[in-house]
Amino acid sequence: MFVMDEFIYDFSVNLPRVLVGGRTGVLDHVKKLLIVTETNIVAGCGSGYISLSGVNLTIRHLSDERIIVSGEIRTIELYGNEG
Amino acid sequence: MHYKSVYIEGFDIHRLLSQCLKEGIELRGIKILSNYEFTADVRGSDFPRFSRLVGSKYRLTITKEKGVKPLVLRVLSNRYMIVGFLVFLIIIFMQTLFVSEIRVYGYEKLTEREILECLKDAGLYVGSSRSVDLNRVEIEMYRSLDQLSWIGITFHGGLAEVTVAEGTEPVVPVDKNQPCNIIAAKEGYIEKTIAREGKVAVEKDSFVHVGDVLISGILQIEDKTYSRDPDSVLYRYVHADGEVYARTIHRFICYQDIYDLEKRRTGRSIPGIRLTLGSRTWNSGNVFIPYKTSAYEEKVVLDLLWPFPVEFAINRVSELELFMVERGQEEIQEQANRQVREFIKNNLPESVQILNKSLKFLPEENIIKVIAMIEALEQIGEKRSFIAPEIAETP
Repeated sequence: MFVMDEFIYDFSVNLPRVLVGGRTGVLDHVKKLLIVTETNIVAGCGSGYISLSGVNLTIRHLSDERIIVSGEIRTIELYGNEG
Repeated sequence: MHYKSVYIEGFDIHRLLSQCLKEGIELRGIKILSNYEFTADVRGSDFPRFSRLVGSKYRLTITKEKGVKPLVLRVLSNRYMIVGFLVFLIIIFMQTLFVSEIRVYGYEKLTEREILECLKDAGLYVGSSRSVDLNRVEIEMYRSLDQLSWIGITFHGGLAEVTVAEGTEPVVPVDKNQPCNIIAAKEGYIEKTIAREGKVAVEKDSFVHVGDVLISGILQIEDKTYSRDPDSVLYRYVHADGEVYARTIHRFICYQDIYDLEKRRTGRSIPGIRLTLGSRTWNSGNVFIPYKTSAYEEKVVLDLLWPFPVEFAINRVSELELFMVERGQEEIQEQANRQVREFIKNNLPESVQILNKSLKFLPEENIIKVIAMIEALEQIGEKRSFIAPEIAETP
């Protein structure tokens, strides 16, 4: 990874960022929530959207532009503003 | 931390969640029950802002309060529980004010029951107050038990530890106003007699048996100037006093082994470890010992009590060969001297002076019989009162 890419990764606060491991997903830079159901969570991150689909999804923690999702995450989708 | 579990009903619940994100209100455990309802935990400090956000658009129900603050409030609201807890604390505190157990150490001739009885009379017993005056108890104990030469009482919580040291049996003194003889308490050859009062009844080098009069308290009156019957024999009775030293003989037999067991290392050994966790110990030396005879050596590497009691040691089991070796004369003599010293220490008083000792060695099949004769100089006089014949005959 180039230095510029690392800068963008670390300091860009308007880009969607998602980290999924096991039954937990961490979504950063969340500005608003668009859909919240047991099977789908869609969050807006300023210049893009993250969509998590799965089963028995719950938001374990919500604060400071970060949400922690628990449940069986099956699909992660990212959308730009254009899409 | 203080949390409130809330149940929210209303349309567009994602909007409320987005507003919470925007306002920095922390929510935990969000469970979406349907498109129109969810439950979550809100911090107590965030709750006023959260309820403002909820406003009249959503219906808010507090289902539960969690955390230390509501728990304390719940406990404090239960008066009976507080009273019960206070009573429990008072009972625990009161228990520490009383003696719950007494342990006695160091007694030999006295029994524990006797000591406990005397302690009870002195004011220290199971159930008595811990604030009892220990000096007074100790003085009472010295008064009631003559054999007691030292007593120490210490408290460890409700446990009273009593340590005693016993002295020799007290000699019952004969009344100074009563006539008495000095008799032999042991048999022996008279060496020296110091008579302060009374008449010496034995000569130097004469042999005396137990009970023989050494210094007599009966003195014949020689001067009969004022006697009505000058031919009659008159006696005067005194309280005999003095010391009589005699050479006493003590015979003592002990045994020794002819052969000594000598251990030699073969050079073969096995290293191992020992691990102790609390009361459980695993030692590799106990699991596998290929040698018939072995020596165990250990070095503790780690010994911790906190945060948990663990001890780790490395050890070595070395093979040994045993040989029977005949003991030398010098070694046997040395051990016999040790045995004699031990015998003197245990059986003769400290004031005794050892004059001579002889050892005789009689070898038997596998042992050596050692006969020791000890010649000692000791004070054998003992006061024994008697009743003067004139007094005894008086009706």
